[in-house]
Parts: sequence; structure tokens; C-alpha cells
Amino acid sequence: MTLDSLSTDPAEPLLQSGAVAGLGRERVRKLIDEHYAFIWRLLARLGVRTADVDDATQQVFMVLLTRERLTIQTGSERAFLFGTALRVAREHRRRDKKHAAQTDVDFDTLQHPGIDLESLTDQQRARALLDRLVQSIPEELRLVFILFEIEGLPAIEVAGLLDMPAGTVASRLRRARQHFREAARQMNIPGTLKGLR
Amino acid sequence: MKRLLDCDDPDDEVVRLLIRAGAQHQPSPRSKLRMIAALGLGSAVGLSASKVLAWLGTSSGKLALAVTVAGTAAGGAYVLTSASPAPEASEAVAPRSVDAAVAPRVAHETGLPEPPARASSHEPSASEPSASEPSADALRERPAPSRQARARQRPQPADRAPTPTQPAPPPEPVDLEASLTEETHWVDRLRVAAEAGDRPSFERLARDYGERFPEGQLHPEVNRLRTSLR
Repeated sequence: MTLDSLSTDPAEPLLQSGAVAGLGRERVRKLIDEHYAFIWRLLARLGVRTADVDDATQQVFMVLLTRERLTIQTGSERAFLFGTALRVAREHRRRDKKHAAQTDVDFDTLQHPGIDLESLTDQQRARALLDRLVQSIPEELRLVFILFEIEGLPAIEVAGLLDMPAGTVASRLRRARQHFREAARQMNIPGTLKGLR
Repeated sequence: MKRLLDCDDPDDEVVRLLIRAGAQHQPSPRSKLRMIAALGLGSAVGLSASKVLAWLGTSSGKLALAVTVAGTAAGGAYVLTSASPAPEASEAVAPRSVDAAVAPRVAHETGLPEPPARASSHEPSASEPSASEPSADALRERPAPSRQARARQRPQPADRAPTPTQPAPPPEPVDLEASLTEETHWVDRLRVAAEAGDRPSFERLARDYGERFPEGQLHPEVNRLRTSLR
């Protein structure tokens, strides 16, 4: 599964009539509590501009409320939201390609208690660099890297989300790491991130 | 499979710094609250009106309701007899008009207490005596204060109300989280009015909301609800 292979609804295979009797307010609220941060961060890493990440996240969860006769197999909620987030992120990138790499600074959306202003600035610079490096990873490898290395999901769950064998996840991850390391080496990063050391 | 973050290869130190920065990136609670309000999911406990009514139909519900009413009445009577706040102060923060039909419904739907400002705008009907007001007999039975007590109660210069020529006191710092929570209540009430198609109530509430929160975070949501009402 690649980012642009999801031209149709990525969650369609997960929708099964009768699996769950519709999504009520309580269930949606629970899903928000459980997955909001994951979806929000994923959208940020997938090239949605900082200023648009909140809106994009809302779009993702809005689907749960607005889609008629929506049913999600129990246990597949994260996969459904993940697939929807990929589609929303792609729409945002298409709308504003020049901001594909997230480089703008938004203090309001950053929560990092116990860190001084200088380090905070460095954190944001680090994230901007991270996003540029992630964007440099070939598309078919990028999601594996984000989910495994940044989101910290187990390889088996990554394989499930991307609907691919675990062996494929491992090989893509290996290649993604090579790309990431090489791009980082070329950017001569160490001198710019003293505050994080 | 080992993550890069868990490796200790010195060559990957920068890579780990960057990944850690991404992993620690968190949305602010405010953005989540905003979304919950925008999606109309303000009910923190997820109680719907029908469930509340069903619960009130049970014996435990009736008992809890009776205890709550009695407690509220006793508490109100105590507050009114022990301290009488200046009406101007409560008027300044209270919405001037609140649709009595809309507000209780919101309280049921959201399962949350109504905004505190509403209490001061609630007017008891003339036909039913208010349990929170002290009776005339109770007031008559209250002993008259002694001369010394009256002297103590006499307002001191610092207690006097400011004259019109005095500058207004500086605004108190606003608790953003509390403010947003209160705004969410207002938007819930507006949503109920909008869903009921009650334009007059909606406009009254929207005006009061605008006066209460001129710099509010949820003005876009209010505008969206207004559009949906058309």
C-alpha cells in the first residue's frame, strides 16, 4: 500500500455491514480519546501543514459521524482511521503542494512540558528536519518508517495496517532507514541541533 | 525488530534525535476540545437525553433527583441568607436572556452542569414559591443587629462601589481551559437551538455568547451553526 494507491476509499474493505450497529456518539467520542493524538501526528508527518493539521484531523473523525450506514469491524477502528487519514492527507497535499514539507512554526500546537525556550525552538527545527527527511524517503517505504520508527507500532501491526506481509515490512523498513540515514548525513545536521543533545 | 530509538549506535545519534522529536510531538488539549465541540460531542460522559429520562424513571433515579433538589434548595437558601452578592457583579457576567426551554435540554444532553452564569439569569416564576429564597417569616425572626454590629457592617471606604470617574479595574487573567469549557457549553446550547430550528433563541444565545466571549475560540463554530439554521 502506498500513499497514492489509495485513490478509492482505503477503508472500504474494513467496512462490513452488520459488524457493528452504527457508530453512536459515545463510540465516536471514545475513538477520539484513543486515537486523536495518533491521527494528528500522522497527518503532521504526512505533509499536512501545521496550520491545517487540526482541520485535517477533524475531517478524519467527521467521517465517523457523517457517513450513513457506516459500520466498522470491532478491532479495526485504528485501521479505518488510518486509511481515512491517508486519504485526507493526500487531499491536503494536493491542495497545497508547495507546503509538502512542514516547516512553519506553531507554538500553540506544541506540548512539551519541562523544556526551555531554546530547546523548544530546537525541537521544532528538529521536527522540520525530520519531515524533510521523511519526505525524501520513497513513497512506498515512507509509511513503514513513520509507523514503526516514529509512532512506535509493532511490526505486526504495521503489516496489518498496510495490508502486507511482515517480511515486506522488514525489508521496506531496512531500505527506508538507509534512505533516511543517507539524507541526514547529506544535510549536515549535528551543528544545528545542539539544544537537543 | 529493534527500533532506531532503541539502538545505541553512535552514528545514529542525530537520527535518534530527530525521530524522538517526531515521537514527542503532541497536539494541544485545546485543539482536541475544539474538535469535540465542532463535532457536537460536548457530552463528556456521553449521556443522551433519552438515557437520562429513562434513568430518572427508576427508583434510584427518583431518589437521586429528590436528594439533588433538596440539596440545591438548602444550599441556595444558605447562600442567600449568609451572603448577598452585589447584583451588578453577577449581572456583568450573566447572559441577559437564556431560553428556559433550551438550557435544561442541553444540560440533559451534555450531562454537564450548566454554565455558572446561567444561575443568575434564572428567574423563578411568580406562581410557584422558590425554595431558595428565605421566607418573610424567616426574615422577620432574624434578630436585629446591635449598634456595634451595625457599625461593623458599615461599609469601609475600600468597600464602597467605585464611582463612575474611577478607572475600570484591570481584567483578571483568563483561565484558557476553563474559558474554553464554558464556551463549549454555550455552543452546545446554541446547537440545540439550531437543531430545534428556534431562530429567536439561537440569536439571543449567540448575542449573549458574543458579549460574554468577544475574543472567543468558538466563533467559527457559532457561525457554522447559524449557517446551518438558514
